[in-house]
Amino acid sequence: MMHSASRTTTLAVPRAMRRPRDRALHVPLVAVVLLASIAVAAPWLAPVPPNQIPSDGLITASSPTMAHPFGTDPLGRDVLSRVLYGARVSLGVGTLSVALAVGFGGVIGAVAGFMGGVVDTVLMRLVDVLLAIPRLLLLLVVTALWESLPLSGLIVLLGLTGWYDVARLVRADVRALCGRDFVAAARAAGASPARVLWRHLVPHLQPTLLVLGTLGLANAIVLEASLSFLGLGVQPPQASWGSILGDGYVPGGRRWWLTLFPGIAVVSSVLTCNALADALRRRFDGRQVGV
Amino acid sequence: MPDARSTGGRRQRIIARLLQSLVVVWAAATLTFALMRLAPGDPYSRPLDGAGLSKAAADALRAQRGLDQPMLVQYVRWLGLLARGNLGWSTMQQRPVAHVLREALPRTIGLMSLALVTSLAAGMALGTWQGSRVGTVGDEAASTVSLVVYSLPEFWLGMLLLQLFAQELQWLPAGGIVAPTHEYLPFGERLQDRARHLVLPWLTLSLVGTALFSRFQRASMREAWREAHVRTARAKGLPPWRVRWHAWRTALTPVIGLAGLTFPSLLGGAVLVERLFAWPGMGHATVAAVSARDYDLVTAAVLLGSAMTVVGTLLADLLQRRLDPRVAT
Amino acid sequence: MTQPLLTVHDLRVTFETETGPARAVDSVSFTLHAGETLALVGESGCGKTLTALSVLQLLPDGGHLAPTSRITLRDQELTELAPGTLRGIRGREVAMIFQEPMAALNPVLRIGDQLAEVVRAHTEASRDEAWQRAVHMLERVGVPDAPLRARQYPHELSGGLCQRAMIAMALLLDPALVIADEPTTALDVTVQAQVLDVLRAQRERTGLALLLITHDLGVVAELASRVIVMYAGQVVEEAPVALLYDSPTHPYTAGLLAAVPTLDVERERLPDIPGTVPAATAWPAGCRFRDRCAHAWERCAIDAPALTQVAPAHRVRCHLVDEPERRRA
Repeated sequence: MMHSASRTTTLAVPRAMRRPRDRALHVPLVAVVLLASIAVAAPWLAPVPPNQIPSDGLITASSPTMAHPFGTDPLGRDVLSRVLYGARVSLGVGTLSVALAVGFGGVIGAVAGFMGGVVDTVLMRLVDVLLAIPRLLLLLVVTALWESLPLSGLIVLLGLTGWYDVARLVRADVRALCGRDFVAAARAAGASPARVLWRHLVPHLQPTLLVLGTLGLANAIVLEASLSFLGLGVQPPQASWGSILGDGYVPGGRRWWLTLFPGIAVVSSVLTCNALADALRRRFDGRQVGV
Repeated sequence: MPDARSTGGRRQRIIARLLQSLVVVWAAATLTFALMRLAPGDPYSRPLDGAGLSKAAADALRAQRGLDQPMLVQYVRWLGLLARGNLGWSTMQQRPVAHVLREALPRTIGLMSLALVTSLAAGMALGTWQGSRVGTVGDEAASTVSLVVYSLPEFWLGMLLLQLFAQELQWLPAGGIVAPTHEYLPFGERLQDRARHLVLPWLTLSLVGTALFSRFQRASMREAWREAHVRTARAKGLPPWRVRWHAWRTALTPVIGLAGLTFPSLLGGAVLVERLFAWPGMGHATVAAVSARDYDLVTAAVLLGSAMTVVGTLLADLLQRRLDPRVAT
Repeated sequence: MTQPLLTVHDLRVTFETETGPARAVDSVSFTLHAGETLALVGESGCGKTLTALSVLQLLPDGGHLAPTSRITLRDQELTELAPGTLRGIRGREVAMIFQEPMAALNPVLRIGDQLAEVVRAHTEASRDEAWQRAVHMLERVGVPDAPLRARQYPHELSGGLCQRAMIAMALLLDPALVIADEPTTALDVTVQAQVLDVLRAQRERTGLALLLITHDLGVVAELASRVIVMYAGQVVEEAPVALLYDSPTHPYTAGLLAAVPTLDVERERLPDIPGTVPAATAWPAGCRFRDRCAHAWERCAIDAPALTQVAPAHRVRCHLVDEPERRRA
């Protein structure tokens, strides 16, 4: 980011002088665990099956009551159950796609950084081109063209569009870490450079990957919600927070419960991820650096 | 160490950059083309206007459009047309794609630019304000609010604003770019009408952007504040506002860089916002076109989106160079 | 004896840390007369830079001056000045030169602008006048092609030129006192000599007083008339420069001098002072140099030596003053 030659400025200001940073990490971590637990425990927490359309009664959206604490959606399905099950989808899709993105991007970045030369140039130019295509637009096009994309397809799609930043940063780190001297030194010590690279690189990259992964998760959740909102993400009758929002969206509608509850679910997850990323960054850098 | 940058050299570098950008756009376009052709179905496999097409009729139309040719032939044809400025034919709207975009694009660009400029200005102001009082109650409160706003999905924010201002309070219109009666309004009221329709989409797009830039600016200011030259400025006996300006000036460069990188997500946001507020821009047209498998329109939209992204990074780069002499090639 | 220009009395600078307060500067006192050059010498972390920064109240965040500390410029008490008055002194009566010239100058502004800024902040000069004065001063300090250089940016100048620019910036308003914090440390050896020449020449011309902070004894020999040696936040020896070099009394001073390589003595290994400086949060009882001193005995662990006058201009903080027989060969 910024060129900084401020060695002479921050004199004798001990690191310990600033506020303890560990505390800031606890809150988001607890929230993450909480959200994950809710997602996992959905079948036990949900009062009724999420796709159950009432056989009696009106097939219409109704405001919250004791029987339906979050109200019902236009097909009469219980919104609370759908939000709970939706957590599994939204969080699951997000997490898996990020894992894919980080893994894929990490490998590409490491290969490019390690091998250098033509391979590096080709890979990085490829990243430049892929970065030029706006992500949502691309996702929109693909999900709309390939109708009824299974959930796994959605995960792969999100993953394959989210690895660029990871690749770039990993490549930079790898390049910084190992020049030609490194390879020579490793060989002189009798070890295979790839092996030493692996042993030293991964712990070194951990902070970067963690922060990128957390931020990527936040993005993925929002993207999935956006796509599902447009009807292009998860397929009905599967519930995802975005699709609940989309199902309930009627221009001019006054059904606040269909906007509020799934929305809060999304916002709290994304907020948790962002807060976690902030705390992680502070922990690893000692000071907040950019977004 | 004499100045190594001659005017000629700089021009050369800018031209190189432009060519590079062109190549990127072309590559992105090719990718999109491939994607569209690889997808199952084509414009004529789905019934238009509810009426189904018989296979023979569909095949005839395909032949007419050249869709039965091998992929490579189609690609070359398409490139040729593109080079001549022909963006194709919208099967959905039954008119040249260029016409569709000529109407829709300015609306999207207008909305996006307005949102970008205001969110950059507001974000930088807030971030700078925070940066000079780090740790105070005001700073902490602003950081928390920024974090929350930054975490809001744009379409949901739009829904909230819509429900609040358009439905509950009825202060602002619920959608569209102008009122149905726009043509009959006097000039002053026409301006007002446009403005009123602009408020909610603009607000939705710019609030999240403001949060983003303020966070970044704050961090950038914090780092700049620690730099050696800020201490020098203080040692020179400069007034506090001038010292702050010194820090701000060096904090500016990375923020401009970030602004350039936000184009893709800004576009994505525009797509959602246009859909939500029935804003007849490029995003709105694209969403409809995708479902209708309007090949040409979709390809052109993605092509333009990529071009806009590339232009955005290019502009940011040029601006950075202008503001900060350290920025190398 | 004329009134001293600068009197520093009982200077104490503390930082708050999690493990308790760090007394980075622990009761330092000295005076400086007009036209004098006083060198503050010591290794990194001894508190010399903080001492220098304290004069202009430029301590970094978290550093506090003890209320009993007094810093008097002529007859003004700098610790009690209103911020506006203090700003008037900075850059005008007292100027500072910093260690890394390229980092200490704002990288996005032209050299000339940064110099002119000082003039405009303290006088009524117009933009043109200030610029002219800046260019003129650059010429005076030996910057070739000054009008061109003034329009350049710091990264376009070599380290030596940058430092000359910084010196020019400090001397623009003819200050009575210049504080130079390690002015040559970041420079190549050959360039160091040039910069020292510039300092010397300007000193001849204007008769300014120079407070020179350095760890380089060679620089001290070139410029200083008096030396203060600091260790672990305290003054351990103060003497005229010739006396210090000829017969250093404090073991630390002797160690420093012995560690300087000379061409006329053949040696296999440069003697160094074993051990490291103790942590500022926990100064040991007794003499702080005790663990690294070759002459230390039991008294040194219990009794902290006071700064004693051994000759008219010579003070030493060491028990060897009382018990010279304890000095080992």
